Amino acid sequence: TTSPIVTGGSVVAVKFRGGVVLACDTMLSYGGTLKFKDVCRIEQLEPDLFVAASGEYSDFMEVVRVLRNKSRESFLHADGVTLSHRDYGNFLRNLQYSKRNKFDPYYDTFVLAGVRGGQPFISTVDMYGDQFEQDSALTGLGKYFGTPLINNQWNPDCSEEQAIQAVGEVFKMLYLRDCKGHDQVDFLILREAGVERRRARVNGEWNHDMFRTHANEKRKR
Amino acid sequence: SRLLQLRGRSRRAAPPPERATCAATRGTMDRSHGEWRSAEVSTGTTIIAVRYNGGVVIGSDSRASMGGTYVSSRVINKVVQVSDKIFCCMSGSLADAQAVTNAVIHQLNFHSMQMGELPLVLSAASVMRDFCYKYRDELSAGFIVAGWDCKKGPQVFQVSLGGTVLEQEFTIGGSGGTYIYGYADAKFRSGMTREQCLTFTTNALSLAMDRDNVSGGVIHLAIVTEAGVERQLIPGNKLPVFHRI
Repeated sequence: TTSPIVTGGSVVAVKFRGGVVLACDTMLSYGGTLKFKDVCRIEQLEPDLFVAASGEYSDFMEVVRVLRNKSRESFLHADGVTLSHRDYGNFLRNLQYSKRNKFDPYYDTFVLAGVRGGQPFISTVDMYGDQFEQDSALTGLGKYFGTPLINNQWNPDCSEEQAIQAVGEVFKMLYLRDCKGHDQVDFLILREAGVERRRARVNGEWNHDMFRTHANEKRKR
Repeated sequence: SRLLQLRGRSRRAAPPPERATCAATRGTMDRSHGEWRSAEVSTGTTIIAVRYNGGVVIGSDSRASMGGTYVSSRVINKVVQVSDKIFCCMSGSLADAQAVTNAVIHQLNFHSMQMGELPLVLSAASVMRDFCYKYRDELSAGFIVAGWDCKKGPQVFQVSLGGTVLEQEFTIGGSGGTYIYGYADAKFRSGMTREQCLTFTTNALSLAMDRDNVSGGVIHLAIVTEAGVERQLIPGNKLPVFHRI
């Protein structure tokens, strides 16, 4: 894809002590129209590995199909060897880079998130084939609005509540300042023990004085 | 070629220059005079499908246009039957939409012969998606796939321009769809009765056809339930009429 059509918004993932939070809003846009409001954009690859992406949604579904095939292929070898989380990240990086070199990228920035052996894992791969394995991942406008918020309110060793709180703040900021921001957000909380899904609505900010001053504005002469 | 693909959507940029302009219009500022003659046929359309308690109602207008100016056909039915209990609505370039629809009908027919039973609505949507995604750089068509199957009952799927498939309770498409997002958002209710659903669909189509230059004509409807398929036609003079300003 060189010009995306149906697109998804920002994805945010952060590590906390013993796990990962992966979150994205539930909306897909069709150009400028905010068309699909109730879509879960997080897909499962393994019981302990999930992927989300911002960008062209049909390419995301295609890549999920490819990744699931890889997983199935590995399973069918029946040799006791399983793909590690890092393997998925590396494969995705190679895939994206080779597509980019043919001028036909999968027009997405992917975020892989998982927990295995108590170790949280986050990897980002963009449409050029850049891969980063880091403690946090923010894509789209979330990268610009959210990075300072995250840096101030979170660290990779914090508690689960603090991590969720910080991620929620990013989505609230996106709802206020991203044209294609949506107030309904899906949270996926991955821990060694298991996976929890939550869906929440962020609140807007309607108490700003400027709303009232502008509402009662008189024309200046 | 790759270079053309890089320009994305604009590969259908300008229509070829018009062959002859009559002396009276030469040198005038009127540029819309002849362009439609060499424009491609589009279904510039309004399509809608709504799921209700017990079935789906699928509807479309009946206009095909060229260059947003000339109505090349005022009788086409964009609600096409692809299987016994599955319909699909076409929008976008008429040529592309017809080509893909015919391919889907063929493939679904083969699939249901292999399986020995009627195909699932999801299968139809999947087949549609495969074409739309694989040839996304060449095609310019969007679809709605809706119908009834024995596994999950009535379903509506939107297969958008690039091949995204999403199941919805109701969905609107085509150029006329833009004019009725507000109406649809305000008036849609989950779990309507068949009559309420028909009213909703007919009103929505009528409002869109009244405002979109490339939608118009009659309303073609198909109602699919477990019992079977019923088709309806609402002629242009029997459409619901709203305030006229």
